[in-house]
Amino acid sequence: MSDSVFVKRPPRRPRRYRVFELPEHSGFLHRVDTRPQRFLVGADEQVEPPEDQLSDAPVNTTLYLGRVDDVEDSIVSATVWEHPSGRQGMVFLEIDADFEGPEPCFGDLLRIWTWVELPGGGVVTPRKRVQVERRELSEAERAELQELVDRWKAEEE
Amino acid sequence: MSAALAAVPEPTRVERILPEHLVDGALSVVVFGPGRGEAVVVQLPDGRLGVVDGCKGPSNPKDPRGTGDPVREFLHAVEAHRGLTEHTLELEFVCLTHPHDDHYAGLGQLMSRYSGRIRRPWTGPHGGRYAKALMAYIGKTRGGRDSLPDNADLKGLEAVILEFANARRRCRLEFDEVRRGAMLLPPEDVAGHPLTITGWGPAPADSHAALEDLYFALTELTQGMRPPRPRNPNLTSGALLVRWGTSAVLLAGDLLRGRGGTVGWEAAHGLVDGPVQVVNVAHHASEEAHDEELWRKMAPALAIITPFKNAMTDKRGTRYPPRPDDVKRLAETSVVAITARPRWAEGSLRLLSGNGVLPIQTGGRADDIHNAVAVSLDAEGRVSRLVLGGKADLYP
Repeated sequence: MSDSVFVKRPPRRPRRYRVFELPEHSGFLHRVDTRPQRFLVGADEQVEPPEDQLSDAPVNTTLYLGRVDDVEDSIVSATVWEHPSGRQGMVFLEIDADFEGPEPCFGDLLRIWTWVELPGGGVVTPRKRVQVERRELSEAERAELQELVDRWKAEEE
Repeated sequence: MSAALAAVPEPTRVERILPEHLVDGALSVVVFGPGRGEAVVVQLPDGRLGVVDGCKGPSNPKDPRGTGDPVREFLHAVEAHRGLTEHTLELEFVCLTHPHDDHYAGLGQLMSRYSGRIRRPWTGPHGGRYAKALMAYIGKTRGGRDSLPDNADLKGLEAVILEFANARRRCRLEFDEVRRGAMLLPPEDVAGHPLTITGWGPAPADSHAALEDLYFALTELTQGMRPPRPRNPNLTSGALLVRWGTSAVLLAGDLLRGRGGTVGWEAAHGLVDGPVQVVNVAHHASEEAHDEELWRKMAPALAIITPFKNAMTDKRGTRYPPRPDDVKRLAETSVVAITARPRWAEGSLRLLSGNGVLPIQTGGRADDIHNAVAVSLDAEGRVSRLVLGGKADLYP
């Protein structure tokens, strides 16, 4: 019988991670863990493109998470972060060509998969799929927001 | 152009602008434009310092010396240059012109580090209420809010708002609102010449309309409506004029020309009471921010431009300022100093997408933090020194 002793300890945050020291005083934001320079982006995201989008086996798949900054004249500009490195860039997408379903609007989250398919005969087919996630407010959040606006307006007066 | 050239001395080029590059007893400004934000340090003729906006946050925000943040690095160098003990330098004023992350992101950390050592905090419209409402709006419209870097950007705005509130409570400071006609630094005699800092923007009507718009948008959200794009905070950006004797420097923030019922720069026409020798050009020198009549009235000898982080081209041409025509227009009447080469001047774009499917345009790089332009003026309106730091250069 082994005489090893195993002690369970709570997980420790690696030293390279930083946490903002601000208290959750406003309730607007979640606590955000950061680390110097780059974030680890989309660790829980599915990297493979959605199965229903595939014609052939996906090769060289890349996932980006993005935020819609502006929609103007059917052009969507968004800030994107590469999974998982967090490298940041900016993309321009066309509503007609790049999106299916409801049009994106300010603040929406984008998941952008890019990959190539090799159907044979030396053909390389570039593929792209953009998925939009919109934030829906709960009843409680709506009430909270309305209360804030009412309070601010009252303070104005 | 020839008169402007004669009025601006040959620039000194350095790797990094340091306090000793500024002329003692002169009015000096250091405009930092690292390609990821804009910040300005103002050194008044009697040595007092002020900060207008903060660049994007440093990569290691907890470093007490602010390594990675050009403003805090510069202020730390000032402490060393003046032989002060660390963390004793005081700031006469700190100003947030408007709540865009390329202007506020580094300011919260700076204000936190200088807590108790800031004499005059100046905020944008409605004493920070506009920024709070905007933050609520952005926070409630963001899909997939967890674990994305832009949440940290928003956290940066929260930090600035908190620091302004702390300044009010801890130090019993009332913060002044930057708006047209506001006397932010009342007239005082410095080295025999009057010194003032006044607000040139935004117009109070624009500030009021912007806040009303935000309240309306928030109310729509509570009713489950599709979130409209909020009014551009640039329309209510603060703009400051620093005047000493006959010297004047305009720090224009991102204030735009009036459009669609807004007043914009038009409100400043009546405030011009003499030449403005140096202008930190509004909104990275975009066409939307250029007021030709005001520019002619000011007749600046030197125009300083901080390129937007993604000054580049897309399918419809160059989308983010400064565009080539914007810079060319300013160069017809003034000497133009740019803190870094715009993306369109760098040739082909880099593609980040490993498989080449999606063209992705990148922003500024961390090694650009010392891109800056410093200028010193005497009380008679002469530019006595021009210093270009890092990759800053004259145009063309």
